[in-house]
Amino acid sequence: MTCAEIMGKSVLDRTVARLRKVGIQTISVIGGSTVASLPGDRDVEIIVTANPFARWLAAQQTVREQSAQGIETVLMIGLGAYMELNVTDALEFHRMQGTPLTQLEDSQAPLDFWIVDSNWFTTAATGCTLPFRYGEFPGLPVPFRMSGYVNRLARARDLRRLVLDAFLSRCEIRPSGREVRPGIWIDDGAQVHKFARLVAPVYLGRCAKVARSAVLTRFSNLECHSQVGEGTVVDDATVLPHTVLGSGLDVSHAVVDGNKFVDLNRNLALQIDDPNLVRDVAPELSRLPAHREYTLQPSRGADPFEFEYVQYLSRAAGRLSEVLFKG
Amino acid sequence: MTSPRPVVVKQLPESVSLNQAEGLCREVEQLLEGDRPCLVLDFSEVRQLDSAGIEMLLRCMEEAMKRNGDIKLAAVAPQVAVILELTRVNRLFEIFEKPADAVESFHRFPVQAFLQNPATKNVELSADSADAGEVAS
Repeated sequence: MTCAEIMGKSVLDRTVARLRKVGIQTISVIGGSTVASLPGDRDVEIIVTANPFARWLAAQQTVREQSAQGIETVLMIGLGAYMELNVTDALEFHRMQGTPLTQLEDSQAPLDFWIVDSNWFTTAATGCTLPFRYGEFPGLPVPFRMSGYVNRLARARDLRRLVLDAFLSRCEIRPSGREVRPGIWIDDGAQVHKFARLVAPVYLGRCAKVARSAVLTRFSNLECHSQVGEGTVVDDATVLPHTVLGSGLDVSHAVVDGNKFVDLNRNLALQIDDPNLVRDVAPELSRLPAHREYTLQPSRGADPFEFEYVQYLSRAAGRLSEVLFKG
Repeated sequence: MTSPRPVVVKQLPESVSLNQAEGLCREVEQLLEGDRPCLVLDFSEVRQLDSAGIEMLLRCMEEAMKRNGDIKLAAVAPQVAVILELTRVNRLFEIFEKPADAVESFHRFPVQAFLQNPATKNVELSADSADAGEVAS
């Protein structure tokens, strides 16, 4: 999800841009194969772990490496949520507190966003597990209440909420591309049949295609390289990149990602294996961008931390990717 | 820099049904002549809408699209909104509470109007109603 474009740009891209804006230079992204879909030319270190359970371990190792290089403060973000954070304020709070570990929270709950003193991490916190937990260190982490927009993107409905909020200017996301008519945004290379109907507000991503008599309506977004077949109606729905919807369908109140379909009204997620209905046309990645591999070391038996790994491995299970940012 | 295109507001009668639809269609089609016509159909008086009225709306929409224009609806009463939803015609049109909002929407995306629009609220409710459905990777 983190790497999938939403309104023309992924959450990862938006987060990286936000961090760059405040002058953060060194950024490492840790994740599975989806991270490899990032363009290779960006100035971001990519660390790929085949084993999804190993991502926090890779983060741990990366913090230590960066600490050895003299980087004092590290922002560690478990990416998943979309956060409009004032990074400068958070860093200032962290420095004012004078404590080594700050965790951001919003009005609902703590967020997977920590500000860590790397020196403390590699000395006092040696062997601690990631992600950090309350109670592991006395008085830490110190909570910092952020006031900006947060969408945890934990469920399909959260994704729809983000799209609505973007259309209604309730967050900083704006559809990319050109507003060809009020409330209708079309990105580069998108094709719309003359007799297709677009009812504002809608967004069409790069190289998206809408066939004859198709209808896109009511806050729908069709992301890059997706297609809508003849006569199909997309109503209050999100079609994620590289998704092809067949002809004559009624896709309402839904999120479609390739052949995965989430019906928000029925609260139901399913995989559809009939390519006449929906299909995934994401290209196979033939060549990964420049990246480092992180391999989970086999258990040595005597390492006491191996037992602790289990705790955070289970916590990390199910996460789609984690991102580590170092400033 | 082009000047904003003129928007015509057409007030519809109390009944848009078989007897009136044909005449109305001719009137509306006259308003759709020319390039990129912009038309708001004011439903504030309308209390009756039948299949002939729906067909009239669709024909007018088709005409407007042929000319690269658009038709928007405004001030739709609840009993008429039910018919529009029943026939699923509601999703073919932008529907506004006030004709002025519909007129404005031809010139810029009226966020405030959408925020206050019951149709938009329904969309938001539908997004809120489900509590599962993990986002696929």
